[in-house]
Amino acid sequence: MSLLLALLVVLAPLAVGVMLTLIAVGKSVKEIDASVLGYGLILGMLLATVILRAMGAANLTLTSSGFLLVSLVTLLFVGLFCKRRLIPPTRHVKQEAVTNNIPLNLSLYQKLVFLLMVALVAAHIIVPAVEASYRPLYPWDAAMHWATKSKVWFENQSLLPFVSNSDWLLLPTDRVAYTDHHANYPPTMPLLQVWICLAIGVWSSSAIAAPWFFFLVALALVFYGQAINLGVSRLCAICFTYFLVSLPMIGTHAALAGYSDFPLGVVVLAALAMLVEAEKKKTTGRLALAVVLAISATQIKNEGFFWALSLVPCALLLFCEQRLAIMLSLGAGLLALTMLFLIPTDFVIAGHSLETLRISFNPQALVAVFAQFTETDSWHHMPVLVLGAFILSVPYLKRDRTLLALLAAMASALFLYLLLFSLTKFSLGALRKTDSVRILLHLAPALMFFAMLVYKRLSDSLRSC
Amino acid sequence: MELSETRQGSGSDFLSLLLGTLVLATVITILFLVTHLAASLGAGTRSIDLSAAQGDGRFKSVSENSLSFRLDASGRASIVVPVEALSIDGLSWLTFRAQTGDPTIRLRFQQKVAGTAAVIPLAAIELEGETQRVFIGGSAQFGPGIDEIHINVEGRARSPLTLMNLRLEPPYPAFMLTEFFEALSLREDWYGFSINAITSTATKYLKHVTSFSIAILVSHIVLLVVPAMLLMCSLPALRARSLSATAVTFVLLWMLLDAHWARQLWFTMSNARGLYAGKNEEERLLASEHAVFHKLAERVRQELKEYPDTRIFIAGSNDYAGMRINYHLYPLNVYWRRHRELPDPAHFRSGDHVLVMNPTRHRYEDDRIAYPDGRQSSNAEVVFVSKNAALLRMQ
Repeated sequence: MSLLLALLVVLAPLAVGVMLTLIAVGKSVKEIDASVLGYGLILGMLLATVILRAMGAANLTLTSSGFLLVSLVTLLFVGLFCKRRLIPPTRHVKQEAVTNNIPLNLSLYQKLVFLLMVALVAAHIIVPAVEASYRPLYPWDAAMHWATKSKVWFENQSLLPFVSNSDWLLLPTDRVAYTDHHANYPPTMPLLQVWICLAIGVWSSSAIAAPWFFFLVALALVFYGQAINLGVSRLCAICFTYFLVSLPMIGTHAALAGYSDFPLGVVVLAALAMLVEAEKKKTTGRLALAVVLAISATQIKNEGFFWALSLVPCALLLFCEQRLAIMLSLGAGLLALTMLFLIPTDFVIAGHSLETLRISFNPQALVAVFAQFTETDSWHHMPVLVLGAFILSVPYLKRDRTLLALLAAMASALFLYLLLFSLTKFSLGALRKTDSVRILLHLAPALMFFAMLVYKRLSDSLRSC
Repeated sequence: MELSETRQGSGSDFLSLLLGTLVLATVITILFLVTHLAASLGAGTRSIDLSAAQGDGRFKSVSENSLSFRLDASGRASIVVPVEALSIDGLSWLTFRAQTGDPTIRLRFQQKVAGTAAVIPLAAIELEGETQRVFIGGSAQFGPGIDEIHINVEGRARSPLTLMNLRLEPPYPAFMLTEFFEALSLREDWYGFSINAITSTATKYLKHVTSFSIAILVSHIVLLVVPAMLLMCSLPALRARSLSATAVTFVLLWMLLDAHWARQLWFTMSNARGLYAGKNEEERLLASEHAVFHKLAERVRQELKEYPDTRIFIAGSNDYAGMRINYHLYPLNVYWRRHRELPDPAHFRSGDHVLVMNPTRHRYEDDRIAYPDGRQSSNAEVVFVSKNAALLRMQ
């Protein structure tokens, strides 16, 4: 009975996530593919946190039965409300979509390579997941400001507030609030840990790693599925998916689950890839999904706000006339730069203010940022791949709007990344090789996606000359 | 093999792949030998003077080149050999001769970082025959070098052992491939920094693979793709194949680098399974690095059963210990501030508790908590004192 309850608590929101994805991309239940499952997993997890937040706001006790009830009601509501869209009459099912992911036209030799790659992808997902399921919470920040919140919320069955150290000291005796090292961090990841503990009924320092496994599966599914949706060959898509899941930083963050950097990277990729697909397929549902994901990135880690901003030039280039988009992007950049000089130094944006960032240029940190590619094995050959993609994309930028938009998103994100580590207090993190490598994880999946689309463009152009 | 879908040419694809792999393996081997040989030219053999050795083993004879002693009644001996600020960078092997009648003897070599108290592993070896060679090329170089080599010996009670000609040696051309694979076969568990970057000891060897990959890819692009694009426009199949050949090479290079990483992941997973499989939450915590903090938190929880709403302040100058005990004490209402210890004494209220962890800059004297700058708290009574912490209750 408890196993059934646990399964239902975990699966109910995920099922709603898959249904919402189907509605957003305009597909029926029979057209579920890798991409839908990947996005469904991400949306389902985000939905679980929304349900918990709603229960907290309504002062409801956080229990597995309460959570399950709300999830099932949501499931029922979405299912009934959108029944006709999810299960259309048989004649409306597109045959092309059903067979889309079956590698029928590969040679035997290519099929073998495809299977080898699938096995490697599976191994890179399963091995870290098995480790995480055994190992009690290991990494530093995980115990310092992520799992602290989930432990308090789960044990008290209530979303009690967390306040800064200084505010906590001044609290009146009749007010209950907690404090930790970063009380202002977004609650999404701790809420996902609460969700898993509600399912199993106890606090477990290793079971709370489960969301990281879900994110890793979602990463592979979204990346592969969107590659196929954008016309990349199956063999190329699976090879790049293997490159992505085998990145040592991703494997490490899945095995030593507890940091929010990796989930943020997955959500940023999902938003970017859906934005590109929305432009290709011209559907508002996909655009809405991309916007929801970009906003969700801000709720996973504060830096998500800046990566979401870096998607704005990409969206402008995809959906506006090119010259207007470039002018708007440059204008927005100039406005942001001007704002830096005008806003009060203690004005907080996404958890940071100019005062706390302590702006000063540190050229050594910039060198250290690039040294991570030679002094550590955090990224395998990804830097070569991405650098090559940036260079090789240049001849196609005039004619290929998608590549130009992706380049704009990646270039603005990398520009912000370099500013962060050369101009702010975080330069220390670059010199110590702590934050600079880890923060690049936010962008690594999206960078890999960009590299894959450049390879596809190059391959198409060589073939068609 | 093409990364696009086609039924044609699978036979020629296979041959291209085979030839490509052979060429790749040859190029990597040659480049590795040449660059690594060049890198190791500056390093020479360092003989370790054993005459200054000190230790708890029962010394029989000591000279510059040899050291004879007996293990103690529990089958152990610890030797410390001072060395003059020695750098192990560029040195790959530790060699020596050993004479003993005890086949169970096992030696662990450690390096003491010059000018500090830090002692870190260098190599471990079980004796086989008389001449011993142990790989140290993967050992990390810390700071200015090392000033002591520690030798810990385990074997049967009172076994005699003679160590001779202890040397640190640079890579030998004949052993370079062995060394490369030795480095790649090193298995390391996670440590605190792992979450921030992958800096395994094999990284410096893997750097060669990365450099070769860049060289090979650039040559591929320059020699294949660019000429194909510029000169052979009339042969689209050839143009497409030139890109595929580069892509296949890249996939192979990626897999080469990933093989080491995948093995490492498998190792840490097996380690975790060995340590925690079949255990419940409590047993897992007790088997992990959490054990000391979990036990302390349980004791504090017992003591505070009657004060479930109390505020607990954590004092301690070790950030790691503070962070861990803070986590284990939740859902009690805990205050811990990284890099700082306790807040201004004016913030304490009667009934608050203070958990003082060792080490700390605070002292408990005259029933008060004394701050490093001379400030003092109001009266506090001791609830309990343990080996590594004390719990105080504010009056």
